[in-house]
Amino acid sequence: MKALLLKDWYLLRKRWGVLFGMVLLFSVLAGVQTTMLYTLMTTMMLLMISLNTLAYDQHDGWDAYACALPLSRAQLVLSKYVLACICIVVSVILVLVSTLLFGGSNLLASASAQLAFGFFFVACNFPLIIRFGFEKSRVYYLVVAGVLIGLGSVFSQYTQPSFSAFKLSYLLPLVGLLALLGSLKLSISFMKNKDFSET
Amino acid sequence: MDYAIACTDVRKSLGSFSLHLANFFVEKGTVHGLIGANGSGKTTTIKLLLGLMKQDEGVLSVLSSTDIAQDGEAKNKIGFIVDETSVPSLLNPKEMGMVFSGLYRAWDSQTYAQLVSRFKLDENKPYRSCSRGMKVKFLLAVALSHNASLLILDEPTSGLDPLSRDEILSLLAEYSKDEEHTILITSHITSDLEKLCDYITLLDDGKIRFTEEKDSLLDTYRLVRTTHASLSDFDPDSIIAKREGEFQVELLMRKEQIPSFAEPVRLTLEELVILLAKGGYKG
Repeated sequence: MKALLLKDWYLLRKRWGVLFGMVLLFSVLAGVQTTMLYTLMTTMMLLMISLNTLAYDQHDGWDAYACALPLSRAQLVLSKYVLACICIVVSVILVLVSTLLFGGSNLLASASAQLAFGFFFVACNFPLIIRFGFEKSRVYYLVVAGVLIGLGSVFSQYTQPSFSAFKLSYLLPLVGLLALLGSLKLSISFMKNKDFSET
Repeated sequence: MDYAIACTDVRKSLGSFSLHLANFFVEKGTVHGLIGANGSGKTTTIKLLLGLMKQDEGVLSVLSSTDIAQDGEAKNKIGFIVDETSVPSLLNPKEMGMVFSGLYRAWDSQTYAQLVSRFKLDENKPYRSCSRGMKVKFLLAVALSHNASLLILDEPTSGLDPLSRDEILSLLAEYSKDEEHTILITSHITSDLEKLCDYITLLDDGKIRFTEEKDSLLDTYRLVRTTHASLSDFDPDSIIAKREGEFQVELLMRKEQIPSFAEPVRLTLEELVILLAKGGYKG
Protein backbone atom coordinates (compact mmCIF):
# COMPACT_ATOMS: atom_id res chain seq x y z
CA MET A 1 0.00 0.00 0.00
CA LYS A 2 2.76 2.47 0.95
CA ALA A 3 4.60 1.61 -2.26
CA LEU A 4 1.49 2.35 -4.32
CA LEU A 5 1.04 5.71 -2.62
CA LEU A 6 4.72 6.43 -3.20
CA LYS A 7 4.22 5.67 -6.90
CA ASP A 8 1.29 8.11 -7.02
CA TRP A 9 3.33 10.72 -5.15
CA TYR A 10 6.10 10.47 -7.79
CA LEU A 11 3.46 10.86 -10.53
CA LEU A 12 1.79 13.83 -8.91
CA ARG A 13 5.07 15.57 -8.18
CA LYS A 14 5.77 15.61 -11.91
CA ARG A 15 2.33 16.57 -13.16
CA TRP A 16 0.55 18.67 -10.58
CA GLY A 17 2.07 22.09 -11.36
CA VAL A 18 -0.91 23.80 -13.03
CA LEU A 19 -3.58 21.93 -11.08
CA PHE A 20 -1.94 22.69 -7.76
CA GLY A 21 -1.68 26.37 -8.72
CA MET A 22 -5.45 26.35 -9.30
CA VAL A 23 -6.00 24.58 -5.98
CA LEU A 24 -4.12 27.38 -4.19
CA LEU A 25 -6.06 30.05 -6.09
CA PHE A 26 -9.42 28.50 -5.21
CA SER A 27 -8.45 28.03 -1.58
CA VAL A 28 -7.47 31.73 -1.32
CA LEU A 29 -10.76 32.76 -2.97
CA ALA A 30 -12.61 30.41 -0.58
CA GLY A 31 -11.08 32.32 2.35
CA VAL A 32 -11.90 35.72 0.89
CA GLN A 33 -15.42 35.03 -0.42
CA THR A 34 -18.37 33.83 1.63
CA THR A 35 -19.79 31.59 -1.10
CA MET A 36 -19.29 27.84 -0.93
CA LEU A 37 -18.43 27.59 -4.64
CA TYR A 38 -14.66 28.18 -4.27
CA THR A 39 -14.51 26.02 -1.18
CA LEU A 40 -15.93 23.09 -3.11
CA MET A 41 -13.82 23.88 -6.17
CA THR A 42 -10.71 23.53 -3.99
CA THR A 43 -11.79 20.01 -3.06
CA MET A 44 -12.81 19.29 -6.63
CA MET A 45 -9.42 20.34 -8.04
CA LEU A 46 -7.53 18.21 -5.52
CA LEU A 47 -9.76 15.25 -6.33
CA MET A 48 -9.00 15.82 -10.02
CA ILE A 49 -5.37 15.25 -9.11
CA SER A 50 -6.21 11.89 -7.58
CA LEU A 51 -8.43 11.05 -10.57
CA ASN A 52 -5.50 11.84 -12.83
CA THR A 53 -3.43 9.10 -11.22
CA LEU A 54 -6.18 6.63 -12.20
CA ALA A 55 -6.11 7.99 -15.74
CA TYR A 56 -2.32 7.64 -15.94
CA ASP A 57 -2.48 4.09 -14.58
CA GLN A 58 -5.03 3.03 -17.15
CA HIS A 59 -3.28 4.85 -19.99
CA ASP A 60 0.09 3.26 -19.19
CA GLY A 61 -1.33 -0.22 -18.61
CA TRP A 62 -0.11 -0.06 -15.01
CA ASP A 63 -3.51 -1.18 -13.67
CA ALA A 64 -3.06 -4.49 -15.52
CA TYR A 65 0.66 -4.72 -14.70
CA ALA A 66 -0.04 -4.12 -10.99
CA CYS A 67 -2.57 -6.96 -10.95
CA ALA A 68 0.25 -9.37 -11.77
CA LEU A 69 2.33 -8.06 -8.86
CA PRO A 70 2.16 -9.66 -5.40
CA LEU A 71 -0.71 -7.42 -4.34
CA SER A 72 -4.38 -8.13 -3.97
CA ARG A 73 -6.74 -6.27 -6.26
CA ALA A 74 -8.46 -4.96 -3.13
CA GLN A 75 -5.17 -3.30 -2.07
CA LEU A 76 -4.90 -1.59 -5.46
CA VAL A 77 -8.40 -0.14 -5.13
CA LEU A 78 -7.95 0.77 -1.48
CA SER A 79 -4.78 2.75 -2.25
CA LYS A 80 -6.79 4.94 -4.66
CA TYR A 81 -9.48 5.58 -2.05
CA VAL A 82 -6.82 6.43 0.54
CA LEU A 83 -5.20 8.89 -1.89
CA ALA A 84 -8.59 10.50 -2.57
CA CYS A 85 -9.25 10.83 1.18
CA ILE A 86 -5.83 12.45 1.65
CA CYS A 87 -6.73 14.94 -1.10
CA ILE A 88 -10.05 15.74 0.60
CA VAL A 89 -8.36 16.29 3.97
CA VAL A 90 -5.66 18.50 2.38
CA SER A 91 -8.39 20.58 0.71
CA VAL A 92 -10.14 21.03 4.08
CA ILE A 93 -6.86 22.15 5.68
CA LEU A 94 -6.10 24.58 2.83
CA VAL A 95 -9.53 26.23 3.07
CA LEU A 96 -9.31 26.28 6.85
CA VAL A 97 -5.93 28.06 6.76
CA SER A 98 -7.14 30.47 4.08
CA THR A 99 -10.35 31.24 6.00
CA LEU A 100 -8.36 31.95 9.16
CA LEU A 101 -5.87 34.13 7.25
CA PHE A 102 -8.47 36.17 5.43
CA GLY A 103 -10.94 36.44 8.28
CA GLY A 104 -13.74 34.35 6.79
CA SER A 105 -16.36 32.55 8.80
CA ASN A 106 -18.34 29.30 8.85
CA LEU A 107 -15.29 27.11 9.28
CA LEU A 108 -17.32 24.13 10.33
CA ALA A 109 -19.86 24.51 7.53
CA SER A 110 -17.06 24.70 4.93
CA ALA A 111 -15.28 21.64 6.27
CA SER A 112 -18.54 19.75 6.47
CA ALA A 113 -19.46 20.65 2.89
CA GLN A 114 -15.99 19.74 1.60
CA LEU A 115 -16.01 16.37 3.31
CA ALA A 116 -19.51 15.58 2.10
CA PHE A 117 -18.76 16.73 -1.45
CA GLY A 118 -15.48 14.82 -1.56
CA PHE A 119 -16.92 11.61 -0.19
CA PHE A 120 -19.91 11.67 -2.54
CA PHE A 121 -17.76 12.61 -5.53
CA VAL A 122 -15.43 9.68 -4.94
CA ALA A 123 -18.27 7.32 -4.01
CA CYS A 124 -20.09 8.05 -7.28
CA ASN A 125 -17.14 8.20 -9.67
CA PHE A 126 -14.54 5.66 -8.63
CA PRO A 127 -16.64 2.54 -9.23
CA LEU A 128 -17.53 3.87 -12.70
CA ILE A 129 -13.91 4.61 -13.56
CA ILE A 130 -12.75 1.22 -12.31
CA ARG A 131 -15.56 -0.59 -14.13
CA PHE A 132 -15.61 1.30 -17.45
CA GLY A 133 -12.24 3.07 -17.56
CA PHE A 134 -11.36 6.74 -17.20
CA GLU A 135 -12.17 7.74 -20.79
CA LYS A 136 -15.64 6.21 -20.90
CA SER A 137 -16.53 7.61 -17.46
CA ARG A 138 -15.48 11.16 -18.26
CA VAL A 139 -19.02 12.36 -18.93
CA TYR A 140 -20.30 10.82 -15.68
CA TYR A 141 -17.79 12.46 -13.37
CA LEU A 142 -18.41 15.87 -14.86
CA VAL A 143 -22.15 15.38 -14.32
CA VAL A 144 -21.57 14.18 -10.74
CA ALA A 145 -19.29 17.15 -10.01
CA GLY A 146 -21.84 19.62 -11.47
CA VAL A 147 -24.72 18.18 -9.45
CA LEU A 148 -22.72 18.09 -6.21
CA ILE A 149 -21.34 21.62 -6.60
CA GLY A 150 -24.86 22.83 -7.44
CA LEU A 151 -26.22 21.22 -4.29
CA GLY A 152 -23.35 22.68 -2.27
CA SER A 153 -24.14 26.17 -3.55
CA VAL A 154 -27.80 25.71 -2.61
CA PHE A 155 -26.75 24.69 0.90
CA SER A 156 -24.45 27.71 1.12
CA GLN A 157 -27.56 29.94 1.04
CA TYR A 158 -28.57 28.54 4.40
CA THR A 159 -25.94 30.31 6.39
CA GLN A 160 -28.16 30.88 9.41
CA PRO A 161 -27.88 28.14 12.03
CA SER A 162 -31.62 28.34 12.63
CA PHE A 163 -32.31 26.58 9.35
CA SER A 164 -32.83 22.88 9.82
CA ALA A 165 -31.20 22.24 6.42
CA PHE A 166 -28.05 23.91 7.71
CA LYS A 167 -28.01 21.60 10.71
CA LEU A 168 -28.72 18.64 8.47
CA SER A 169 -25.69 19.51 6.38
CA TYR A 170 -23.45 18.46 9.29
CA LEU A 171 -24.79 14.95 8.92
CA LEU A 172 -23.91 14.81 5.25
CA PRO A 173 -20.20 13.96 5.73
CA LEU A 174 -21.27 10.95 7.75
CA VAL A 175 -23.71 9.86 5.06
CA GLY A 176 -20.98 10.52 2.49
CA LEU A 177 -18.56 8.36 4.43
CA LEU A 178 -21.06 5.50 4.46
CA ALA A 179 -21.55 5.94 0.72
CA LEU A 180 -17.77 5.91 0.33
CA LEU A 181 -17.49 2.59 2.17
CA GLY A 182 -20.23 1.10 0.00
CA SER A 183 -18.50 2.46 -3.08
CA LEU A 184 -15.18 0.93 -1.97
CA LYS A 185 -16.84 -2.47 -1.66
CA LEU A 186 -18.39 -2.08 -5.11
CA SER A 187 -15.09 -0.96 -6.67
CA ILE A 188 -13.24 -3.92 -5.15
CA SER A 189 -15.86 -6.25 -6.55
CA PHE A 190 -15.52 -4.64 -10.03
CA MET A 191 -11.74 -4.89 -9.83
CA LYS A 192 -11.78 -8.53 -8.70
CA ASN A 193 -13.95 -9.49 -11.66
CA LYS A 194 -12.03 -7.40 -14.17
CA ASP A 195 -10.56 -9.25 -17.14
CA PHE A 196 -7.66 -7.45 -18.77
CA SER A 197 -8.43 -8.78 -22.21
CA GLU A 198 -7.70 -5.33 -23.63
CA THR A 199 -5.46 -2.98 -21.73
CA MET B 1 7.51 -34.69 -13.14
CA ASP B 2 7.56 -31.27 -11.50
CA TYR B 3 5.78 -28.55 -13.44
CA ALA B 4 6.05 -24.79 -13.05
CA ILE B 5 2.94 -24.38 -15.21
CA ALA B 6 0.18 -26.89 -15.79
CA CYS B 7 -2.97 -26.25 -17.80
CA THR B 8 -5.58 -28.94 -18.29
CA ASP B 9 -8.52 -28.33 -20.55
CA VAL B 10 -8.34 -24.56 -20.01
CA ARG B 11 -10.80 -22.62 -22.13
CA LYS B 12 -11.28 -18.89 -22.59
CA SER B 13 -13.64 -17.20 -25.02
CA LEU B 14 -13.13 -13.60 -26.11
CA GLY B 15 -15.80 -12.63 -28.60
CA SER B 16 -15.33 -14.76 -31.69
CA PHE B 17 -11.91 -16.00 -30.52
CA SER B 18 -11.64 -19.05 -28.37
CA LEU B 19 -8.53 -20.41 -26.65
CA HIS B 20 -8.28 -24.06 -25.69
CA LEU B 21 -5.21 -25.28 -23.82
CA ALA B 22 -6.03 -28.98 -23.69
CA ASN B 23 -2.75 -30.02 -22.10
CA PHE B 24 -0.05 -27.44 -21.63
CA PHE B 25 2.78 -28.18 -19.23
CA VAL B 26 6.02 -26.34 -18.57
CA GLU B 27 8.59 -28.41 -16.73
CA LYS B 28 10.51 -26.75 -13.91
CA GLY B 29 14.05 -25.76 -14.81
CA THR B 30 13.39 -25.54 -18.55
CA VAL B 31 13.03 -22.79 -21.12
CA HIS B 32 9.74 -23.18 -22.97
CA GLY B 33 8.92 -21.24 -26.12
CA LEU B 34 5.35 -20.47 -27.10
CA ILE B 35 5.04 -19.65 -30.76
CA GLY B 36 2.20 -18.82 -33.08
CA ALA B 37 0.89 -16.23 -35.50
CA ASN B 38 -0.68 -12.95 -34.42
CA GLY B 39 -4.01 -13.68 -32.78
CA SER B 40 -3.15 -17.32 -32.10
CA GLY B 41 -3.65 -16.85 -28.34
CA LYS B 42 -0.13 -16.31 -26.98
CA THR B 43 -0.85 -13.11 -25.05
CA THR B 44 -4.19 -14.49 -23.82
CA THR B 45 -2.32 -17.53 -22.49
CA ILE B 46 0.21 -15.31 -20.72
CA LYS B 47 -2.55 -13.15 -19.21
CA LEU B 48 -4.35 -16.26 -17.93
CA LEU B 49 -1.13 -17.51 -16.36
CA LEU B 50 -0.57 -14.17 -14.60
CA GLY B 51 -4.15 -13.92 -13.35
CA LEU B 52 -4.98 -10.92 -15.54
CA MET B 53 -7.84 -12.95 -16.99
CA LYS B 54 -9.85 -15.79 -15.58
CA GLN B 55 -10.43 -18.97 -17.55
CA ASP B 56 -14.00 -19.99 -18.36
CA GLU B 57 -13.23 -23.65 -17.76
CA GLY B 58 -10.40 -25.97 -16.81
CA VAL B 59 -7.61 -26.11 -14.27
CA LEU B 60 -4.64 -23.80 -14.44
CA SER B 61 -1.75 -24.06 -12.02
CA VAL B 62 1.26 -21.74 -11.80
CA LEU B 63 3.95 -22.61 -9.25
CA SER B 64 1.39 -24.95 -7.66
CA SER B 65 -1.12 -22.14 -7.24
CA THR B 66 -4.52 -22.71 -8.85
CA ASP B 67 -5.71 -19.15 -8.11
CA ILE B 68 -2.77 -17.06 -9.17
CA ALA B 69 -4.76 -13.80 -9.21
CA GLN B 70 -5.20 -14.01 -5.42
CA ASP B 71 -1.92 -15.73 -4.54
CA GLY B 72 0.60 -13.09 -3.53
CA GLU B 73 3.04 -15.76 -2.36
CA ALA B 74 3.25 -17.32 -5.83
CA LYS B 75 3.32 -13.94 -7.57
CA ASN B 76 6.36 -12.97 -5.50
CA LYS B 77 8.25 -15.68 -7.39
CA ILE B 78 7.20 -14.63 -10.89
CA GLY B 79 8.95 -12.09 -13.07
CA PHE B 80 7.05 -11.01 -16.15
CA ILE B 81 6.78 -8.86 -19.23
CA VAL B 82 3.33 -8.66 -20.79
CA ASP B 83 2.47 -6.89 -23.98
CA GLU B 84 0.16 -3.85 -23.52
CA THR B 85 1.04 -3.44 -19.84
CA SER B 86 3.85 -1.45 -18.33
CA VAL B 87 5.25 0.43 -15.38
CA PRO B 88 4.11 4.07 -14.92
CA SER B 89 5.54 5.91 -17.90
CA LEU B 90 6.51 9.06 -16.01
CA LEU B 91 8.70 7.24 -13.51
CA ASN B 92 12.42 6.66 -13.97
CA PRO B 93 14.47 3.58 -12.99
CA LYS B 94 15.52 5.17 -9.70
CA GLU B 95 11.92 5.87 -8.65
CA MET B 96 10.73 2.49 -9.87
CA GLY B 97 13.40 0.83 -7.75
CA MET B 98 12.01 2.59 -4.69
CA VAL B 99 8.44 1.59 -5.56
CA PHE B 100 9.23 -2.07 -6.34
CA SER B 101 11.25 -2.48 -3.18
CA GLY B 102 7.96 -2.02 -1.35
CA LEU B 103 6.03 -4.37 -3.63
CA TYR B 104 8.21 -7.50 -3.79
CA ARG B 105 9.13 -9.23 -0.56
CA ALA B 106 12.51 -10.43 -1.88
CA TRP B 107 13.41 -7.28 -3.80
CA ASP B 108 17.17 -7.08 -4.27
CA SER B 109 18.18 -3.44 -4.69
CA GLN B 110 21.78 -4.40 -5.42
CA THR B 111 20.84 -6.73 -8.29
CA TYR B 112 18.50 -4.08 -9.66
CA ALA B 113 21.22 -1.43 -9.54
CA GLN B 114 23.64 -3.82 -11.26
CA LEU B 115 21.14 -4.58 -14.04
CA VAL B 116 20.31 -0.89 -14.53
CA SER B 117 24.02 -0.23 -14.85
CA ARG B 118 24.64 -3.28 -17.10
CA PHE B 119 21.83 -2.19 -19.44
CA LYS B 120 23.16 1.37 -19.40
CA LEU B 121 19.77 2.73 -18.35
CA ASP B 122 19.73 6.39 -17.37
CA GLU B 123 18.56 6.40 -13.75
CA ASN B 124 16.79 9.72 -14.19
CA LYS B 125 15.20 9.17 -17.59
CA PRO B 126 11.44 8.48 -17.46
CA TYR B 127 10.28 5.17 -18.88
CA ARG B 128 8.25 6.87 -21.61
CA SER B 129 11.32 8.65 -22.98
CA CYS B 130 13.19 5.37 -23.41
CA SER B 131 13.53 3.52 -26.70
CA ARG B 132 11.73 0.19 -27.17
CA GLY B 133 14.94 -1.66 -26.38
CA MET B 134 15.53 0.34 -23.22
CA LYS B 135 11.94 -0.22 -22.10
CA VAL B 136 12.32 -3.99 -22.43
CA LYS B 137 15.61 -3.86 -20.50
CA PHE B 138 13.92 -1.74 -17.84
CA LEU B 139 11.09 -4.30 -17.46
CA LEU B 140 13.57 -7.16 -17.52
CA ALA B 141 15.63 -5.53 -14.77
CA VAL B 142 12.48 -5.43 -12.63
CA ALA B 143 11.60 -9.04 -13.50
CA LEU B 144 15.06 -10.26 -12.52
CA SER B 145 15.52 -8.32 -9.29
CA HIS B 146 13.25 -10.17 -6.87
CA ASN B 147 14.66 -13.67 -6.99
CA ALA B 148 11.94 -14.98 -9.31
CA SER B 149 11.93 -18.69 -10.04
CA LEU B 150 9.62 -18.32 -13.04
CA LEU B 151 9.89 -15.77 -15.84
CA ILE B 152 6.85 -15.27 -18.08
CA LEU B 153 7.87 -13.11 -21.01
CA ASP B 154 5.60 -11.97 -23.80
CA GLU B 155 7.52 -10.94 -26.91
CA PRO B 156 10.52 -9.52 -25.04
CA THR B 157 12.67 -9.34 -28.14
CA SER B 158 10.20 -8.02 -30.71
CA GLY B 159 11.06 -4.66 -32.19
CA LEU B 160 14.63 -4.78 -30.90
CA ASP B 161 17.84 -4.43 -32.88
CA PRO B 162 20.04 -7.56 -33.15
CA LEU B 163 22.52 -6.29 -30.54
CA SER B 164 19.85 -5.64 -27.92
CA ARG B 165 18.20 -8.98 -28.72
CA ASP B 166 21.49 -10.76 -28.25
CA GLU B 167 22.10 -8.96 -24.96
CA ILE B 168 18.69 -9.97 -23.65
CA LEU B 169 19.02 -13.57 -24.86
CA SER B 170 22.42 -13.84 -23.16
CA LEU B 171 20.94 -12.61 -19.91
CA LEU B 172 18.06 -15.09 -20.15
CA ALA B 173 20.48 -17.91 -20.97
CA GLU B 174 22.45 -16.95 -17.87
CA TYR B 175 19.29 -16.98 -15.78
CA SER B 176 18.21 -20.37 -17.12
CA LYS B 177 21.46 -22.03 -16.04
CA ASP B 178 20.05 -22.34 -12.53
CA GLU B 179 18.03 -25.56 -12.44
CA GLU B 180 15.42 -23.94 -10.23
CA HIS B 181 14.70 -21.29 -12.85
CA THR B 182 12.00 -21.69 -15.48
CA ILE B 183 11.22 -19.45 -18.44
CA LEU B 184 8.11 -19.31 -20.58
CA ILE B 185 8.72 -17.02 -23.52
CA THR B 186 6.66 -16.06 -26.55
CA SER B 187 8.21 -14.62 -29.66
CA HIS B 188 7.66 -14.14 -33.36
CA ILE B 189 11.39 -14.38 -33.82
CA THR B 190 11.83 -18.14 -33.89
CA SER B 191 15.60 -17.85 -34.28
CA ASP B 192 15.67 -16.37 -30.77
CA LEU B 193 13.70 -19.32 -29.44
CA GLU B 194 15.94 -21.75 -31.31
CA LYS B 195 18.91 -20.38 -29.39
CA LEU B 196 17.24 -20.39 -26.01
CA CYS B 197 14.48 -22.97 -25.66
CA ASP B 198 14.39 -26.58 -24.53
CA TYR B 199 10.74 -27.05 -25.51
CA ILE B 200 8.50 -25.51 -28.13
CA THR B 201 4.71 -25.26 -28.17
CA LEU B 202 2.93 -24.14 -31.31
CA LEU B 203 -0.37 -22.35 -30.85
CA ASP B 204 -2.59 -22.05 -33.87
CA ASP B 205 -5.96 -20.32 -33.84
CA GLY B 206 -6.28 -20.77 -30.08
CA LYS B 207 -5.33 -24.44 -30.02
CA ILE B 208 -2.11 -26.24 -29.20
CA ARG B 209 -0.80 -27.94 -32.31
CA PHE B 210 2.14 -29.54 -30.56
CA THR B 211 4.57 -29.40 -27.68
CA GLU B 212 7.93 -30.93 -28.49
CA GLU B 213 11.49 -30.95 -27.26
CA LYS B 214 13.28 -28.51 -29.56
CA ASP B 215 16.27 -30.75 -30.35
CA SER B 216 14.05 -33.73 -31.04
CA LEU B 217 11.84 -31.57 -33.23
CA LEU B 218 14.79 -30.37 -35.29
CA ASP B 219 16.19 -33.88 -35.46
CA THR B 220 12.96 -35.61 -36.48
CA TYR B 221 12.10 -33.62 -39.58
CA ARG B 222 13.91 -32.89 -42.82
CA LEU B 223 13.19 -30.91 -45.94
CA VAL B 224 13.36 -32.68 -49.30
CA ARG B 225 13.44 -30.76 -52.57
CA THR B 226 12.16 -32.42 -55.68
CA THR B 227 10.57 -31.62 -59.02
CA HIS B 228 6.89 -31.73 -59.86
CA ALA B 229 7.57 -34.71 -62.16
CA SER B 230 9.29 -36.73 -59.40
CA LEU B 231 6.64 -36.08 -56.78
CA SER B 232 4.88 -39.34 -57.60
CA ASP B 233 8.02 -41.26 -56.46
CA PHE B 234 7.23 -40.32 -52.85
CA ASP B 235 4.73 -42.11 -50.66
CA PRO B 236 1.97 -39.48 -50.15
CA ASP B 237 1.41 -40.70 -46.57
CA SER B 238 4.99 -39.86 -45.63
CA ILE B 239 4.67 -36.23 -46.76
CA ILE B 240 3.77 -34.07 -43.78
CA ALA B 241 3.67 -30.74 -45.59
CA LYS B 242 4.27 -29.59 -49.12
CA ARG B 243 5.30 -26.20 -50.48
CA GLU B 244 5.03 -25.89 -54.25
CA GLY B 245 7.14 -23.44 -56.21
CA GLU B 246 7.35 -22.79 -59.95
CA PHE B 247 10.23 -25.18 -60.56
CA GLN B 248 10.41 -27.36 -57.47
CA VAL B 249 8.41 -28.77 -54.62
CA GLU B 250 9.58 -28.73 -50.99
CA LEU B 251 8.44 -31.64 -48.86
CA LEU B 252 8.52 -31.89 -45.10
CA MET B 253 9.14 -35.50 -44.05
CA ARG B 254 10.18 -37.51 -41.05
CA LYS B 255 13.86 -38.38 -41.35
CA GLU B 256 13.30 -42.13 -41.34
CA GLN B 257 10.66 -41.97 -44.06
CA ILE B 258 12.82 -40.24 -46.63
CA PRO B 259 13.59 -42.50 -49.63
CA SER B 260 17.26 -43.20 -50.27
CA PHE B 261 17.25 -41.35 -53.62
CA ALA B 262 16.23 -38.06 -51.96
CA GLU B 263 18.60 -35.60 -50.34
CA PRO B 264 17.40 -34.40 -46.94
CA VAL B 265 18.16 -30.90 -45.68
CA ARG B 266 18.11 -29.85 -42.03
CA LEU B 267 15.58 -27.12 -41.28
CA THR B 268 15.68 -24.10 -39.05
CA LEU B 269 13.01 -23.87 -36.37
CA GLU B 270 11.29 -21.13 -38.33
CA GLU B 271 11.05 -23.17 -41.55
CA LEU B 272 9.93 -26.19 -39.59
CA VAL B 273 7.22 -24.35 -37.69
CA ILE B 274 5.85 -22.74 -40.84
CA LEU B 275 5.69 -26.07 -42.64
CA LEU B 276 4.22 -27.91 -39.66
CA ALA B 277 1.61 -25.23 -39.20
CA LYS B 278 0.71 -25.43 -42.89
CA GLY B 279 0.73 -29.17 -43.19
CA GLY B 280 -0.84 -30.20 -39.95
CA TYR B 281 1.11 -31.88 -37.20
CA LYS B 282 0.77 -35.64 -37.05
CA GLY B 283 2.69 -36.31 -33.87
